[in-house]
This record gives sequence, C-alpha cells and structure tokens, in this order.
Amino acid sequence: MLKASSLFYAIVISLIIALISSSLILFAYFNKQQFQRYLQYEKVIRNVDSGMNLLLGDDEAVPLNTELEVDLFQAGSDMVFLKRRSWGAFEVAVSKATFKGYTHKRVAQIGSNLFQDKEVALYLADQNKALSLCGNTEIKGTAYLPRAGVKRAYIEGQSFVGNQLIEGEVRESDKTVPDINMGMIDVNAAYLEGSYNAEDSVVNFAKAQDMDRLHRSFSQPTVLFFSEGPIDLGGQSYHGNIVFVSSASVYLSRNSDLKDVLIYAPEVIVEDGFSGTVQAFAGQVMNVGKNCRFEYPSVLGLINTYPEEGVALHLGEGSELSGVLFAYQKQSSRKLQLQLTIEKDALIRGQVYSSATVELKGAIHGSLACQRFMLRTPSSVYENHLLNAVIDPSLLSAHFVGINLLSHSYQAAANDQVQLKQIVQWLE
Amino acid sequence: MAGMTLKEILNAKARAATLVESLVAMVIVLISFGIALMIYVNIADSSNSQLKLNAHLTLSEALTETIQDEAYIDEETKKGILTIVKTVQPYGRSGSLVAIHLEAKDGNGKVWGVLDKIASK
Repeated sequence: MLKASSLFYAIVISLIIALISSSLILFAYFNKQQFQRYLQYEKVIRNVDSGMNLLLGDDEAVPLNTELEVDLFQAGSDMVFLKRRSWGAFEVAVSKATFKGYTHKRVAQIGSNLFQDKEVALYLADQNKALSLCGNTEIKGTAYLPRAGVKRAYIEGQSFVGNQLIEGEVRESDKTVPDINMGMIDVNAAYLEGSYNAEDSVVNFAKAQDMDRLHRSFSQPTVLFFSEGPIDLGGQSYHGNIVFVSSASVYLSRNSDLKDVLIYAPEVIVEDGFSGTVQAFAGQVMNVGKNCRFEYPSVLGLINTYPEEGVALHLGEGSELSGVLFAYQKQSSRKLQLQLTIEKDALIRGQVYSSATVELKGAIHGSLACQRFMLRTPSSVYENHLLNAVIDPSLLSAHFVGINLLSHSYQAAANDQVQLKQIVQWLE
Repeated sequence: MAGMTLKEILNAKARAATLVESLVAMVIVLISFGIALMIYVNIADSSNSQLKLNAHLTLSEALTETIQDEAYIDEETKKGILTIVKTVQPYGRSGSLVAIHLEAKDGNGKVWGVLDKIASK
C-alpha cells in the first residue's frame, strides 16, 4: 500500500532547506571574516610602509640607536614599532606592526649622498697650488678647485691629451676639504677603540672558530666576534648581522664568503682576488690586494683618531669597489699625512673622501673630495698632479645611494634643505 | 511493494493523509521557505562587502596614483558610484613627509572605506 505521509515529506524537505540555509550562513560568515582580516592585514602592511617612510624622512621622529612605538595617525589603532641604528657607515631601519597575531616587518639598510647635486665630480681644497693634469686624465662634472685653477702639465713623457681640462663647471674651493660627518666617524671609531654596543651578543672569536659559517638575521641581536689577536676569515662564510673586531688585524682571503658584515681592526689585509660585500674600517693600515671586488654596498674606511705616522689605505691594481672609500685622520699635520692610494686600473663606483692626500691612478665613477693630490713616479713625487686618472659622476648609476659623509652644517649650506635618506637595500 | 504485480499495485488502496496532517505539513514547508528566504536576503544584503571591496580597491588605486604622480593636493574624484575624497597634510616637523587620508563615499555620503598613509614628498 502506498502511504501519503505528507508530514514526513514536509519535515525531510524542511531539513534539506535548513541544511542549505546553514551552509549559506556559514559561507557568508567566513567570507565576511576573511574580508575583514584582509583589510586589517592590508592596514598593517600600509602602516609598516608608513613607518619606514617616517624613518627615512624624519630623523627627529626616531633618533639614532633608539626604538619607539609610534601611533601614526593618533587614532589609537595604528601602532608601529620603529627602530633606527647605525650599521657601519650606513643605518639599519626596522618598521614592525602586529595585529591579532599577524606580524609584518620590514628591515632596510639606509643611506644618503655625499652631494645632493650628483653632478659634482671633484672637491680639491685650496692649498695655493693649481691642479695639474697630464696624460689621458678626464674630469667630467662640477669641480671645486683652488683659486690657482687647473693647468696642463707634462710628466713621465706624457702631456695632457684631452680637449678640455674640466668638462663641467669650475667653482672655487675653500682652504680645507668639507668637514666629515663626525657622527659617523665616532660610531665606528668606538668599535676600533674596543667600545661595544650593549645590545651586541659578544663572542670570543677564538672559541667560535669551529663555526666557520653563520648567517645572522638583522631581526636578531648583532653577533660580535672579538679577538685580541689576528682574525683570519679565510675559507669562512659569514652573512648578515655580524661584526668582527680585532685588536691586531683582520685578514680576508679570496675564499672568504662575506656579505653585509662589519670589520674593525687596526690593520685590515685583503688578499688578491677577494670578492664580497663588506664594510671594513681600519685604524692604521688597510691594504687591498689586486683584482678584488667589493660589491655594492661596500665601504672601506680608514679612521685614525690618534694621529700617527704610516697611516695608509691602499686599493690594489685592478680592484673594484661599489660604495664608499674614505680616509680620515684627526688633526692631520703635513708630517703625519695619511695616504689614500687608488692604483692603476682600480675602479670606484661611488664616493671617495680623504681628509689628507689622495694618489689617484685609477678611475672614479662618482665624486671625490680631498685635501690634495700626490703622484709618485719612479723618478719623482708631484703635488696636485693627476696622470691618466678618471673622475666621472655621470657614469654612476642614478639609483646609487651612498652615505652621509659630510657634516650636517656643510650639507645644510650646500643644499638649503634637509637631506632625505634613501633605501640602499632591503635586508628583510 | 516488492513482489507485487502491476495489477495488484493499481488495485491497492492508497491511504490518504488527514486534513490536519496536510495543513501542518504546509505550514512547516512555508516556515522553512520563509526562513530560507530571509537568509537569502541577508546574504544578498551582505554583498555590501562587495561594495566595500570595490571601495577598498578603488582607494588603493587612488593611493598608488597619488604617490606615483606626487599629487599631494586635496581633491575629490568620482569613480563609478563612489566619490574618493583625498586630504593631504604635512606630517612631522621635517617638511618632507605628508599624511594622505582617503575616503570612499557613496551618493548618500555613507563612508565605505578609509585609507591612511605617510609618504615622502
């Protein structure tokens, strides 16, 4: 017998409708929740970017080597953790925001430029001696020169072969090279004098020598390897947030694998053929061998705060550096002149600064500021002479970001505005 | 009805439902459909989130354009049914930063999305 049972069928249909309805409710709920989460994540990412812009654009908002929690728009819902600290000659900026367990963070290496005007090729202090050019010397761009000006000269059987001595505007220089940024010098001189940052994780290099490989994130505390004796980094691989400090010397060999690390020692020796990205600071001597490659952003600096003799930075023949090369000696007298030498076929893409003498035989695709030139030949020593040297800022990448080499007072006078920092590279 | 012939099936007596049973069944089905319809309408209403998403995407696009073109001026632009209101103010003391505030409003002035960002000039 066929049963009608309409009540039973009605309940079954109702149940099916209920199931479909509850599925729709769940779908709508999760969809809405997902959308809200997406909006919040977007907001977190935007706030982190805003924080990074704040770090780049306003030094006073977050002073160097401090960390702050900032309410970006004073609404109570846009809290960002900001930190700015020095990293060699550059700075590292951290911007971080968290929302309901979701954390977004950006870490960047930041820098700025020697001259706001990227056309500046040369700043040679006025020591009452003209600049003499010989051979195939090329200076392209604005040049700040002594009042005595620039002239052709004939040495080592070579006279000036170009059509124009300076291919650019010539302006008058002051008696001394513009003051170096002492803030940057003090930060790095402290490491050379054995004064470490309290936050650094200090490790005796002798005890950690078995660990020949370390890649350290910039989100973690800095690992500082120190040694009273020499440090030999041959055959070792170190990347990231790592500092080496030696009271004697640091040796980089051609099989060292170094990226973004800092090196401090009275003496830094680099073997022929080395390749890597480092910021190395020497107190007395830095000797870079032949055909070495220092990738961007590298810095080689000589900081001599206790004036002494025999202080020299030497960049070997055929070596290349993309970044910054500088030599600074405190209260240098003519007797205690430090010597910065750029050998034949060496190439620097970026900034070069010396508070004393520069011997330039290679090429600079960027700018150079120095007190005087010195040229040694087998037969004689010439002052303010350049032979087969090139200084051409137009060959430097438009995206190049260097460091704040000059004092703020000089920059303010030169640029009439506050200099904006720029991102050198993203670290995380 | 297994084992029944077609003749037996056709001759069998079908038991009818009572009037009460039928009425109750109709009421249950009507209530079920009613609730389902309410849910459907609610979900259809929640397609407001579609408008919110549109507003958000339009605001993101406007923000990108503002920064790319460095158009750091207050302005109102019509994008579909939404009006994007942009307000730009100096941020901090450096003079090199601006706070960009963007709002997406409909014809009734209801705000469907807001974006804030600090940018460098």
